[in-house]
Amino acid sequence: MREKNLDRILDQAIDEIAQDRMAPAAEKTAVDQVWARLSQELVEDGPANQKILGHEDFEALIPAFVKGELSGAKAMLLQDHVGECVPCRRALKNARTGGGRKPVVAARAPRSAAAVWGWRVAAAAIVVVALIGLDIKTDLFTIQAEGLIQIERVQGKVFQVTDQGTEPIREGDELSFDQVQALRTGKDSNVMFRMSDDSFVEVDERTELTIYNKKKFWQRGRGDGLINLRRGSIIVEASPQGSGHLFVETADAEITVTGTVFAVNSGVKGSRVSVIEGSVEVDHGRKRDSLRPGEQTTTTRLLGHTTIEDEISWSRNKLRHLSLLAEATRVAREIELALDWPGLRYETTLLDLAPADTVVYIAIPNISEQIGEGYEMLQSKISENELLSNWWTDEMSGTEAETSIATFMEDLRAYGAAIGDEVVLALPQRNGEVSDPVIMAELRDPKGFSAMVQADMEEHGAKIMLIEGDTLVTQASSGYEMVLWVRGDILVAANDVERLAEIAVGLDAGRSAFHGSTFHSKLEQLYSDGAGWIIAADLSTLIPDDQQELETLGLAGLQHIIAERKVKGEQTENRLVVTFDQPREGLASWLAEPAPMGALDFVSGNASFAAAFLMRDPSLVVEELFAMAGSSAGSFGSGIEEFKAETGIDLQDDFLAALGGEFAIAFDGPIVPVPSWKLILEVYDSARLQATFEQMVDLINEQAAEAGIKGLEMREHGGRRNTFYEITSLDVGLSVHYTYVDGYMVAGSSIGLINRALANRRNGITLVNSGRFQRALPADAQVHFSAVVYQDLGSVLGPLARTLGAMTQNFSQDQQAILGQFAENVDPSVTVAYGELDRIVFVNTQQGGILSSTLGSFLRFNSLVGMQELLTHAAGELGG
Amino acid sequence: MQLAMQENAATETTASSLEDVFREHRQRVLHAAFRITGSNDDAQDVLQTVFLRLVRRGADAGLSDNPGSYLHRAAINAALDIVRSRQAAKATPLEPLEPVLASAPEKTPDRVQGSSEIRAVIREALGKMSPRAAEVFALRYFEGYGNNEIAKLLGTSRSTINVILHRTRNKLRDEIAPYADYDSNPKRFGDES
Repeated sequence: MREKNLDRILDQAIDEIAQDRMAPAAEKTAVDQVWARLSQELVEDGPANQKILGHEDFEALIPAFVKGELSGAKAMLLQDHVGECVPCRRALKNARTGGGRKPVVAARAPRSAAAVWGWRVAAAAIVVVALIGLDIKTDLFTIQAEGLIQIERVQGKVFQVTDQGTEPIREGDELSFDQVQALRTGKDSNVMFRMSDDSFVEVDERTELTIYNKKKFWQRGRGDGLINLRRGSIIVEASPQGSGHLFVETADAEITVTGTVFAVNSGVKGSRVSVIEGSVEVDHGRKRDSLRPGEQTTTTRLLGHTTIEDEISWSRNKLRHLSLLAEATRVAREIELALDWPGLRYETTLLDLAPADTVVYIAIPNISEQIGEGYEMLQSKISENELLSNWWTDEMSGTEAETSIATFMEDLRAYGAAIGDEVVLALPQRNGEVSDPVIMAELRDPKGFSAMVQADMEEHGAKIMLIEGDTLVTQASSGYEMVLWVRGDILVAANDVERLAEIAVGLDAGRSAFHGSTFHSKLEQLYSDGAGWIIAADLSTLIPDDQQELETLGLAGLQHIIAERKVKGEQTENRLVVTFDQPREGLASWLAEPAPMGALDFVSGNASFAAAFLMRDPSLVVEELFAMAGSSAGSFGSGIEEFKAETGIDLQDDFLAALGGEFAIAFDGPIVPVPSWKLILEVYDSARLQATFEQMVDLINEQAAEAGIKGLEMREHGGRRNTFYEITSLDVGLSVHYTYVDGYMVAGSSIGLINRALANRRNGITLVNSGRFQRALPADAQVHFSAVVYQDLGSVLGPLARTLGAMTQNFSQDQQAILGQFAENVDPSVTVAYGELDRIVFVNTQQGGILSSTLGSFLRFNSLVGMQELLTHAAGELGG
Repeated sequence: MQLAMQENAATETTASSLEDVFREHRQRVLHAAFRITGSNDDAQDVLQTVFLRLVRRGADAGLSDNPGSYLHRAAINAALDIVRSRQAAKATPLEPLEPVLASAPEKTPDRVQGSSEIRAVIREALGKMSPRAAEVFALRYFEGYGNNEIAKLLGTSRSTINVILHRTRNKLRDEIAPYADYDSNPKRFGDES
C-alpha cells in the first residue's frame, strides 16, 4: 500500500515537472538576451574559418587562455575540451607552471542599480542640496484656498445647506463656503469635488462636511486649508501644500497632511483614519499618531480597525488607485535601474571643519543630478504609458503643482551642479542641548552659486546674509534667518555669524578642534571604507552620565550610533553600528559573538520568515533579566530554590543549563489552515530537558486536576531514527510536536512539518543554501552572524492569495491581478547582526530601491489587505 | 577587398544558418532546461551555453541528421551539470514554488507546498545520480522519449534502459518518502522517524 502510494506521488511529481513551463515573459527575455549574445559572438569572432574544429585548434588557444586573453565563449569551450582531452590537460598544466600568471582584470566600477533612500529623505536632501532654498523658495507651493470647491461628479442626491434651507447640487457647480454652511450627501449618493488648492475629495453617502474659508485658514497658520467632517466618510487626495498643511477635523480628531491620500470615517463611536499614500498626523485626545501607508488609527476603543480595502470599498476610484499604484511602482523600478547613482566617497574636507563640539553628524551625497534625470525619465515614461498619462492629465496637467515641481527641479539641478559631492550637517552641543546645525559643502562653482543666491534673494526677498571672501565680516546677523559664507570653494551656512566665526578658526588652521576626537576618528574610518549616507551621533556626550535606567540595562557604556546607507554593486546596504566604550555588558551582551548556526539547517528554502540568534548564556541572561525587572541576583537565586522545593524542578540545572545558545523560529510552509511554525533550540542535554518537560507536564496536570480541567497529554512515538513527542492540550485541542536531533530540539505545528525539516536538512534543501537567501545576504568579511532575520513574504503570500482568489467567487479578476503583483514587488530581505566585543553591527540589504519602495509599500499593504479578504472569502466558502 | 567580402559572406552564412537552428530549437532547449533546473536563470544559461558551443564549433558541427535530438540531449546534460554544480555550491533555487502556486489553484496550499518540495527533491536527487542515469530518466519522464528511442540515442539496448529507469525510480522513491508521507497524511511518520 505504502509503495503504491509512493509510486503515485512520484508519478504525480514527475508529471508536474514534465508540465513545468517558463512564464512567457521570462521565456521571451531569455531568448532575446541569448540571441543578442550569440549575435555579438558572431560579429566579434567573424569569419567561419575561426571555428575551433579540432584538438590542434584547442591547443593553440592555451597560451591565450593562461594569459586571460581568451573570450568567455572560447574559454568555456577550451575548459570543456580540457576535461575530456588528456594531452590538452597536460599542455594546459605545463603552460600554467611554465610562467605567466593570469592577469588580474581590473574590477569594473560597480554601477549603481539600486537607489538610495526614500523619496522623503531624498526630498530632504534636495532641500539641503538645493541650498537653503528652504528660505528662498517658500512661496513655491503656497496654496490659494478660498473656501471654494468645484463639484466634479454627483451621484444621487447631494445638497448644500444654507441659511435658506437645502438646495440640490449639480456637476459643475462652484460652492463658496462663505454662503454655504455644509455639504450633505443622501442615501446611496456620493459626490466628488476639487478644492481651490487642487486637493480632490470623494464623499460617501450620508456624509456632511464643511470647508473653512481662507480667513479661518489663517487662524491655523499661513496657507492652511480645513475640511470639517461632521459625519460620514471621505477620501482625500491632498495636493502638495507647500509650506502649509491641509487639515481634516472631526468631532474628536484633527488630521494634518501635506500631499497624500487618506480616508476618514467619522461617526457616533468615533473616527477612523486610514492612510493610503504619504504620511498623516492624527491628533486625538492627548495622543498623536503618525501614520504611514497602510496604517490606521481609531479615536476610541469602541471603534475597531478594519481593512483599508473595506474602508474605501465605496469609492468609485478604488480599482484606479490600486492599478495606478501598481503601474507607478513598475515604472519607478525601471527608472531606478536606469539611473547612475553617485559612487562612494573616500575622502572629505568637510569632516575636519565640523565644530569641535559636534555630537550629530549627517553627510548626504549630492544626488540632485540623479533626481533631475529621474524626473525627466518619469515624464518620458508617463507620456508612454496610457494609464499614467491619463492620470497625469487628470490630476496634474495645468495645475500650480505641476509648474511648481518643474520649477523646483530646475532650481535643484542648477544649485546641485554648483555644489560638490556631499553636503554635511553638523549639530553641536551647547549648554547640554543640541543646537542648530552648521551646514557645509564644497562648491564646484562658487561664483555661479553666489550669483544664483543673489538672484533668488532679490526675486523672493529672502532674509539671508551672503558673505563672500576669505574674511568673515562680523557684522550683526540679527534679522537674518540664515548666514551663508562662501570662502573659496567652501560654503558654510549657519543661523548667525558667531557660529561661522568658530568655523573660520578651523578653516584658517586647516582643521577644527573636532579633529582627533573619538567621534571624529569613527567618522574618518567611515570615509576610508567608502561613505554613502551617514547619520551618526555621539551618544557618550548626548546621554547624561546619571542615567540609572541605562545603568540597570547595562547600557551605560553606549558610545556612538552610526547609520550608513550605501550602494554596493546591485544591492543597497543599510548598516547600523552601536559602539560601547568598553566590552558589551548587560542587555547588550546577550547577543553572542558571530558563530555558525546549525539551527537554520532545519529551515527550508521555502520559508517565508525566519529569525535566528545566538545567545551568550541562557542562565546568565535569565538571571540578568530578573535583575533588570527589579529583583536582585540573590532573590533570583532564592526564587529558583523556592520553585525547586515546590516542584522538584531545578530551573537552572534541569532547564537552562540543558539549553545551548542557539534559537530559531520560522514560518516554513503553508500558512493555512494552520500556520506552519517551527522552533529550533540548541540543546546540550536532551535527556535532562525531556525529563524536565515530563515533570512539568505532570505538575501542570496535578494543578489542572485541582482546577477541574483536563490538562495536558504527552505522547511518545518511537521511530527508526528519532523519537517524536507530542504534547496536547486536552482542553484546547492544540498540539506541539518535537524531537531531538543532533543536539537540537526541533518543534513544530505538526509531525509532518518536523519530518520534512529533517529530510530537507539531509537533502541540503535549506534556507541558508537557497538562492534567495544567499542573494539577499550582505557582502562583507564576516563568515558568520550573531542573529539573522529573513523574510520572503512575497514568494508565499502573493501566490497564496492568487490561489485562494481562484477558490472564491467574490473576488474580481482585476483585484486578483493586482494582488498577483505582490510577489513581484516584494524582494526577500535579510537583516543580520554581528555582536562584537565592544559594538553591535546590524546590516540589512535591499535589492529594490526607493522610487518603488514608497509606492511599493502601499501596493504591498493593499495586497496584504486583499489577501485577508481572500482568506475571509475562502474560509467562508470552504466552511460553508 | 575580395577577401573581406568573402569573410563577410561566410559570417552571414553562419549567422543565417545559426539563426535558423536557434529559431527552430530554442524553445525546446529552454523548456527542457527549465524542467530540469526549475529556474528561469539557469534555463537561460543552458540555452546560451548550448548555442555558444554551437557557434564556436560552427552551426552545422555535430548536429548530424537530427539536430533536434542533439540539442535536446545537450540541453539536458548542460542542465544536469548546473544542478550538480549547484549542489557543490550548496545553493538551491526557489523559483519552482511560484509558478506552481500560481498555476494550480485547484490544489490546497498545503498540498502545493508539499508538492513543490517533492519536485525540488527530485531535481536535487537527479544531480546526485550518475550522469547517464539522470539523462535517461530525464529523457524518459520529462521529455517523453520511449525506451527504444533512448536506447537508440545512447547507443545501448532497451533492456539496459529498462534497468536504469527501474533503479532510478527506486532511488527517487526513497528520496521522496518523508515528503510523500506528509503529503498523503500529515499525521503519519515517514522514513525519518
